[in-house]
Amino acid sequence: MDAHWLALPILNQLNSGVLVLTTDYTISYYNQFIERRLGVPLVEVRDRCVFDVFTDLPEAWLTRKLDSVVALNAPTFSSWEQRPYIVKLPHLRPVSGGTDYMMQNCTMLPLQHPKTKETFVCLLIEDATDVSIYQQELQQNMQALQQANRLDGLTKVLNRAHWEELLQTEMLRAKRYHQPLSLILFDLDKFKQLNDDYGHLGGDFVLIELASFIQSLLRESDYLGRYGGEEFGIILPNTALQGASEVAERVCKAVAEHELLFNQRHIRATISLGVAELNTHRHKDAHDLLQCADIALYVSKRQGRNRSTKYHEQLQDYLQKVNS
Amino acid sequence: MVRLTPDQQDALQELMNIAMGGASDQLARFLNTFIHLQVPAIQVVEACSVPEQLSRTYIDNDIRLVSQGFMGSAGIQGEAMLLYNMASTHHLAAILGYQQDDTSESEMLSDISSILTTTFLNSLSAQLDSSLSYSAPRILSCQPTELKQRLTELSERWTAALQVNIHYQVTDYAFDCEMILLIPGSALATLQQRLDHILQEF
Repeated sequence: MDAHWLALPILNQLNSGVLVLTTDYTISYYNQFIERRLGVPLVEVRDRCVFDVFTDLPEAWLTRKLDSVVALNAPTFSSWEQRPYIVKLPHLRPVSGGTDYMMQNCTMLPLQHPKTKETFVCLLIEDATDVSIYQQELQQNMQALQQANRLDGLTKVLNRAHWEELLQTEMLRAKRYHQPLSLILFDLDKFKQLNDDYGHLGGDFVLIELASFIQSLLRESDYLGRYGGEEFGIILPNTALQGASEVAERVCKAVAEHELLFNQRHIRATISLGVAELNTHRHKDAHDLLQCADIALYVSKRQGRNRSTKYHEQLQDYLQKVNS
Repeated sequence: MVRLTPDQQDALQELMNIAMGGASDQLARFLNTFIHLQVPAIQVVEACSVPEQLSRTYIDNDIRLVSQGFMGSAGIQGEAMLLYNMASTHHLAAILGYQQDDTSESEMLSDISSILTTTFLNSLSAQLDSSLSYSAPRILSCQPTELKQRLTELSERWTAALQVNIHYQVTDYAFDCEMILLIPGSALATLQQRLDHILQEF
């Protein structure tokens, strides 16, 4: 079968753009795919410079690419992931997903006229709008999943697994750069009582409200996480014991003054806090540091709650004394 | 495992030398600069040994892996991989003649890969009386930890790997990259036939 007649109808039915340029960047041909989207008949622009017709082409970049196709007699490519589009065209997708123009994958091929031996560059333009939107959706979903994986379902602060991971990372960073690092552990006072008085919904309400309130008191670089039940932790990078203790005092006071309203009933809750600073010689891992903060927290509870305690070594002796 | 005879190995090395010469000549004219090119050292290995070896070599480096498929007549096909050590690619924009702010790193890597792969393989295929089509280059990996996994996935599809070490020196700037051509057993057999044919002609 003589296949020559096929070329033109296929070029025009093709669901990809075909744009042919001369080596001095004038338009030699484009197919219906481009013609219809552009709304300009080929006869009106043939032999005109492509940069005069498509005014927002990246001229410096594109001339370099076209020159490379001619000089190296080799194809070159452009992907929507790196450059969303080359020729600004509308897309036909009804739901655009936020993209106004057709995302494009483009292949630039060297062509040679069989008779005159003149060289042309053919730009094959594929519509990648669908792919780009799926990719975008996938990324959004992945982000949402990752976030869900890191947050505590009830209070929306960091969950224990992720918070502990961050603690490890921050400890390593502090050691490497010889920066201080402090840790606050705190516990809602008399949580059982709260649950008894206001029911479990009331208890949950207090946890949610306080977590978000305390989060608002912290710097962006501090990490608040739910350690378990009514126990929370705050990682304070680049903060020494004194600074961390000031944060703890401030949080303690603010919480005690913060009135919560649950089912028309006012709730005042208090917290007890323990503060410890990383000691790179003594603390081998996160567990050692957590333990120090936990001892300080225990002392706060022991001494009447609604207060914060800085960890120091004598606390161990104090504990032994009161427990014996 | 298909192995090349010493004669075939020599012939291939010679073809590669010519191809690399042709490619760098084209490149020099395009970039309008002098290009110094080392004679590439080639090695045919089993594809499955590549991931282990390369991930060991590049374990501590900031690397990029760019892959581009190729297919020609007479069963010649495969995948060309370029490995860049990012420490040596600061001057890509200058080498390519791009304005730095106009072009992202990944775009420059794709462009330089495409240029290196197509000029070299066009040159090589011309000697084998074939012409090639190419897929668009894709950046596969940025993390050394991912490198091995990526390479393993790739190498499972292919039988043999042709490892070519390329060192380009472009007047003021130098950059290194490693090219690995992964090819299926059938294409290697075709290649061997072509090499035998060339050897007979001498």
